[in-house]
Amino acid sequence: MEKLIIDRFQVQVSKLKDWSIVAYLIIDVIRRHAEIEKGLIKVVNGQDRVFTKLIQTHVAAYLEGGTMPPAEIAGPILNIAEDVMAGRPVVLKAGDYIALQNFRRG
Amino acid sequence: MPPALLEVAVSFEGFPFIVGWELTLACNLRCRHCASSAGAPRARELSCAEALALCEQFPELLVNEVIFTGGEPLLCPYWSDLAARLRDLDIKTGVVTNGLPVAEETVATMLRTGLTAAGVSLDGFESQHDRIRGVEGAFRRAVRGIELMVSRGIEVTVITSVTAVNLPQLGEICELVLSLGAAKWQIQPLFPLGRGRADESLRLTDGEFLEMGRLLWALRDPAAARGLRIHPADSCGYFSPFDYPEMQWSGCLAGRSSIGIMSDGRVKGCLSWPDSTVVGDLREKDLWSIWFQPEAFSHLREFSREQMGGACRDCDAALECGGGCEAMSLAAAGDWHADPYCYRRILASRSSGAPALPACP
Repeated sequence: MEKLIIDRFQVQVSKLKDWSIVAYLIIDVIRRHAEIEKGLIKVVNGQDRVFTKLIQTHVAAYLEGGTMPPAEIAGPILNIAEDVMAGRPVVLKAGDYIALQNFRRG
Repeated sequence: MPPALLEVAVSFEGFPFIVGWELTLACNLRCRHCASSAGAPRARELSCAEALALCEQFPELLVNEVIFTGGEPLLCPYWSDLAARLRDLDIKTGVVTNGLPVAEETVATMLRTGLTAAGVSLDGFESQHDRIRGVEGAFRRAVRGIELMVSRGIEVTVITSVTAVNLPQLGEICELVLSLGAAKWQIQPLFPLGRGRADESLRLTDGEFLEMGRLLWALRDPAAARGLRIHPADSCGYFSPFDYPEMQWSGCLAGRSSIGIMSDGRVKGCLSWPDSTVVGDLREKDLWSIWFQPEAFSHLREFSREQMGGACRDCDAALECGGGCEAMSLAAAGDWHADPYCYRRILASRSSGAPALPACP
């Protein structure tokens, strides 16, 4: 894995020979903009506060009240919730990140 | 939901980590080989407010680095505002300049706004550089600009476009670059684009291009031992004995992990591509929508051997290489994935008797 550090996120790029195949991106969105506190994501700062707040809201709703997120982002939110429940660092695959950003933008 | 968002496809999951941003097409030089035919500004170039608003779109697209180009980007009246804003957004910035506008206060502004890397074009020694640049004194002022920046800790890359004229002097130019204290020396063959297309005498033949490869290989280790990294740019390859092992080519990044923004807000995969390749206008759509629209760059993001042109289609490194630099492909072959400036092709053609570089389309 080649690590490309982007200050806003931690991005890990697997060095594929064919750059047209780019299902490679993992984004640690929590690293700088949020903290895990008592199993919940807490937004702390950053340019991407709105984005992180979106994640926080839906993950919390799912974990605390069993509320399913909107269909467009159900996959990404459940993936994040699984990481949170397992106590793992929360990471986003590129596809999940794009889906969440599209939802936020919409 | 804005209509544009409905078009967003998630099948492509890359991001424009590197943005080439033409701040203005205005230029104080009229270089004979300028690929952009720069001189006058474009009609309706972005205002400072528009450009600053555009910066705010970069973080969500994970933009990591923005390179200011032109024209002469330091003639743009708001370049420092953009540099400062990008610094605040944690995005690295660099500038490619002809060096003429670089004065003490310019360097101070660069440092204040976090612009810590600069590329300066030098195409040879004084008489040669000035003749190509079309302005007497251009060499001395460029050298002065380089010295100023180096003395203040800005990382300078000297950029040399190799032509039939300066090829025999590459070794001496290397010494010049070393003497200036530059960190890197970027080498690229002349691109037959813009004004560079008009003068056939500057263009490298197969034999000259191969000689360039040999010289760069021979200069690499001695230069590195003296603190200068030679950086063969796009269109210096591919998959040949002359490739630098630390810079393995993995395909053109344009439209896949880099993008070009024109000074009037139009968007291309690479600023060296012709205007017919524009995929969107930032005055009509935002960058996210343009980047992820299904038709944008689809021929670059996924393609087969059958879609490749020239000698690339039959090359055994075709799929790994992708057909080289797309700007050179379009300029020299008139097709995508078909860069004829290729050491591998030339070496193979010499053993098989295949034809040399074609004339520009």
